[in-house]
Amino acid sequence: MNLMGRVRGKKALVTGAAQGLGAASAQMLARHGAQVLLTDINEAGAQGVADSINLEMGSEVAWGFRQDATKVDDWEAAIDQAQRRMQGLSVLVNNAGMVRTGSIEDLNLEQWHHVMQVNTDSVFLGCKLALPMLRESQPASIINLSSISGLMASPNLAAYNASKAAVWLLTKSVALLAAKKGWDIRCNSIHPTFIRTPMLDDLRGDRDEAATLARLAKQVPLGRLGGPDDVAYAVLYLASDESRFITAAEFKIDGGISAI
Amino acid sequence: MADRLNGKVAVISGGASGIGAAAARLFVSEGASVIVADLQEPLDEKLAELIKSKPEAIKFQKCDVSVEDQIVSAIDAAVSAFGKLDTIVACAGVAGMGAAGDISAEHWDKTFAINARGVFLFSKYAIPHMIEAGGGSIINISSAFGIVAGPQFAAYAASKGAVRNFSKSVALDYIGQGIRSNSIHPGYIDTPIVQNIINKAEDVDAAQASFNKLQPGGRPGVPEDIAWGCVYLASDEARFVTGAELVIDGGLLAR
Repeated sequence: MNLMGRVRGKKALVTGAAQGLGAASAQMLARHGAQVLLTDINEAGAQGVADSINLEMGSEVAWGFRQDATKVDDWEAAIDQAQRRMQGLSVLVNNAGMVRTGSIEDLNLEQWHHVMQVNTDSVFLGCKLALPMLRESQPASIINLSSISGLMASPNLAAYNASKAAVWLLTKSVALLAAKKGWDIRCNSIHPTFIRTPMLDDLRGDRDEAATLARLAKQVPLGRLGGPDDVAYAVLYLASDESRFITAAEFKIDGGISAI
Repeated sequence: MADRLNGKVAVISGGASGIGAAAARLFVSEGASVIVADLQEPLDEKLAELIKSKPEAIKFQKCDVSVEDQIVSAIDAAVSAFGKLDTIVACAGVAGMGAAGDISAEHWDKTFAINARGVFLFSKYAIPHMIEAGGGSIINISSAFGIVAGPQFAAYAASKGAVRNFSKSVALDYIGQGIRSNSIHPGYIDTPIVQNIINKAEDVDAAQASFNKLQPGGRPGVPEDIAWGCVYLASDEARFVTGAELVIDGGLLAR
């Protein structure tokens, strides 16, 4: 246990934690003193990341758990698991999500619903079902992973744009409810641009990897893709009490895109 | 821990009180070397004590940001004391009230001289040193009223809006030289600048209540809430963050 950590004593649940931003966020929170429940549909993957965290920290501070973040039953089980493992929940990182390219012409209703279910229903359920336990663990913080594509549109990301924009304003609604009720529960969204994660493979499809990554990097004014820790540091800041006056805000981690 | 700004050298304008003073103290505790640049001697007791006890890490430099030469002197003070400059926090500001039909040209000019021109000059003279240092972080304190307007804040809101878009311009123009530039947008923070406005009101209690009502949670933030945002943006943790606005407003803008 890190006794001097910025999130010492925090009890965190991170969805989609088997890889990418979820794994990096869970590692970051643990390194700075939090206990972390890592959930994912890929249970072995989440457990693997948890094991490596425990090895690094030299004590049992992380646990893996199977969860489909679009399912009510799975949320109830995950929250029950948080109670069992950590005796509470003070940080919720709604990270699980997917990318699907496609314009309004390309997508059918079933594909639209699938994207909305994975990216938006999951965040709705997480905020709603975790709220009672977060209220028991104040000060608490909800961190929702949206995207720069939740603030700016692309012709070829119709469903993804809409699903991430929904997360953006849902976040503010939850934040304002908590403020109005006088609960010390903050809720913020993070909006990354392209970050080097396995999700970029879904965006790339069958195209050449190096050429595609170079093309994506060119769209970022900084001229490079972000790394998972660029997002994980923002998660750490929003999870910590350093950000106790930050709520209903959006964090853009976008290498300058929002300046244009 | 407490080493997030090891090796950084910062000048903080308006560092004698409020948000700037809180940032100066946190920067030193996180390992940075700091020049506190302000018109007035440090009013914050803990900061004054720190400047006395740790002269190797933090110094005071008298600076009126409406005077070009004094900005140059504050920047030079950092380079001569600590060997380089890679971080600035532009915190100096004034907050007079009044609607467009009621304020004078002098009120407008003074507001812009400090809040907008002062921020511009601070960046202008810091940038060459940042390029020499291989990069840097520019942190400009705007306001929630730099994104939306507030009643009776015509000149203030306009000047803070200027800060927001100036920060983005700097971000784009120096992105290839490793300089990041962002603005911070505080909501109602309990600082001397706001307390002065409230105290000047005819009905102080009503003014206090109307400020509290700006906040969804019904109460202001404290200077440290903004200072931690400065630490984040100054640190390498935010190396992918530039041209952005960091809103620290307790939800004020979301409604």
